[in-house]
Amino acid sequence: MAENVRERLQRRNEERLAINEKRRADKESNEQPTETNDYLTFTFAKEKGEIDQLLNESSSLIEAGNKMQAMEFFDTLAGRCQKLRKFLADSAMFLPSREVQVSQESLKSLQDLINAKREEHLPKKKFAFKSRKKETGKPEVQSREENKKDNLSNTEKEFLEASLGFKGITGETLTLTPAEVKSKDINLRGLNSCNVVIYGAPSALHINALSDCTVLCGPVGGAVFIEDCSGCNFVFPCHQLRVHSTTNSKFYLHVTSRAIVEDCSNVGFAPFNWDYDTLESHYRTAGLDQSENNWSLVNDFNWLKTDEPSPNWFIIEESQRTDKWSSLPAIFPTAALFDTGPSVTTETPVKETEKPKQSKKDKRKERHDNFLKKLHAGRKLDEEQKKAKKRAQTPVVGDLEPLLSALSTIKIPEINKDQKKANNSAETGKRPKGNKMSRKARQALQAREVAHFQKVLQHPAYHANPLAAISEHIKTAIQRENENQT
Amino acid sequence: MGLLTILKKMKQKEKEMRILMLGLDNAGKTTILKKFNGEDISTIEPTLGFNIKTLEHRDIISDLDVSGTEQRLAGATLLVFANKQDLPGALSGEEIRDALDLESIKMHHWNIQWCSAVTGEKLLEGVDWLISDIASRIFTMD
Repeated sequence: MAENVRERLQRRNEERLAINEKRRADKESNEQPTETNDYLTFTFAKEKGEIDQLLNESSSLIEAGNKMQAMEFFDTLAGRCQKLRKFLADSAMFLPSREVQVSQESLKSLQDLINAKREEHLPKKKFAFKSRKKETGKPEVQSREENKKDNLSNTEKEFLEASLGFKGITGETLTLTPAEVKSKDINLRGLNSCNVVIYGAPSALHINALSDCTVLCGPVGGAVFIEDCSGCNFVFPCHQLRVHSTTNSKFYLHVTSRAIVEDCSNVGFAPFNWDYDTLESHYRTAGLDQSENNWSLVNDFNWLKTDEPSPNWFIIEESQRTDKWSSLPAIFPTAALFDTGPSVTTETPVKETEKPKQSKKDKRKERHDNFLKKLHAGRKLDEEQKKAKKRAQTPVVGDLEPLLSALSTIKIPEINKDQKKANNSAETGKRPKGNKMSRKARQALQAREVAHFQKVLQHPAYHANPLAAISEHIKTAIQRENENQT
Repeated sequence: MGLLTILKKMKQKEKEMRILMLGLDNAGKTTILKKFNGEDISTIEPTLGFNIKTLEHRDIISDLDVSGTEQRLAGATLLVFANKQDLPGALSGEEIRDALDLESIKMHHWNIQWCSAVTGEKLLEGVDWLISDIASRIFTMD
């Protein structure tokens, strides 16, 4: 019985092997000649060899300087190479994976070779899909840089000339008005130690190669680009901010989308803290949401770790922040100038004016206010006072805040002196009137001042550069004052 | 897995195409992608790295990459979107074609299409051209 079973098993096994053999034979006879391994590898190698050879002979095949011929030559080569690639892709199914991989690699190196040769014969292509490898020689890099310059001198230059902005200025205060900038692109390029004040809502702001500048700008509806700047302060609200290759700068920022930095170092961020009279309406013009500010969510494209903060940017500590531009609108009354017309006011910030005489009530109120302030924010008050002191020491250059303090110091000592004189001579019993005036006198003074300011507004020097004209006027006024006293 | 399944899969795979989108900072790549996908475009942030979106259009599945990286693309079809045409001062499609010297490109099929990603104008036209061009080159089974 056991013998029987073994025999049977043996027979079945033989039968199975025979069937397998037959199947294999059938398959081989059915197989297309184009699907065999050998055929495919042979065709591939042949075609590749031909392309290789053509490429090696390229210098002899192409006449020197014949660009058209060179271009055609390389186009045919590239076409063949592509066909070969397709052939490989089609036959990948029938080849062992190792074979496919090797072929693909050799094909890739062949294509690289073609590109290299093409570069040799047809240098300076303006636009093409090329891999930017570092191994490319120096001359190529140079030609690319030349290209860059060329581009700048054509399209980009035209664009720059057509757009609004400032270029190549040192040590000035530059302003733009809401009517000028409304929904336009602004370009700032190559400025040095300047203060740029842009009132209004531009659609985009491009800033390039600034050093030691302060840039204040109204709400920007689109994106702000900053590139190659150093030692600057930037103060503006915008939708998007992109900062490239910038160092040692500070941003007082309102951003509704996100800010990014790339190739930057030591850039600080703080919330936007400038205000001028029509700022809110400019927010609406720009379409920015005033309540949403992502100033502290900065993405660094050179820092992909999420668990560690980027070392390239930081948040400016509250005590380190400045708001020296906070009083700008007072000296440059935009609302009055551009929107409401002649009703120019000469208001000066309250904290700067010394009070010539106070009633008991006022004093009490002030004490109470101070107490409250101390109670709620003792530290804040200290800081404010410190800042005020510091500001008082800074000379009247560039920064506009000192101008303001200069303004008040001219006026107030005069009054005080008058008062003292009056006090001294008041022994006869005359009570000093202080600065109280009759209503008529006040109205007359107001009328005079309005007329005066109208004249100022129409003055050509003021039109040319308002801030410069004002500062000039103040300087001469101080001189006159000093001469009168001595 | 039966033969039929394999064939089906192959056919399906063949109807997929990959589209790589490249462009300058703030050119509107993410906006185009989101607009095309019908997503909200008001909260777009600068893209760190890349986005990959799969979308189906005219029965063809496309993977759209948005990134700043360059890659070897032999024989790929090139579509240039001249975006932001809704803004004043934008160069026209022809001007951009000349600036990029597209006429000198012989190795790729190319086309330039003006558009506005914000309004969505002409986006569809561009992608339609792209897909039909790629399809005519690659899909032979239809």
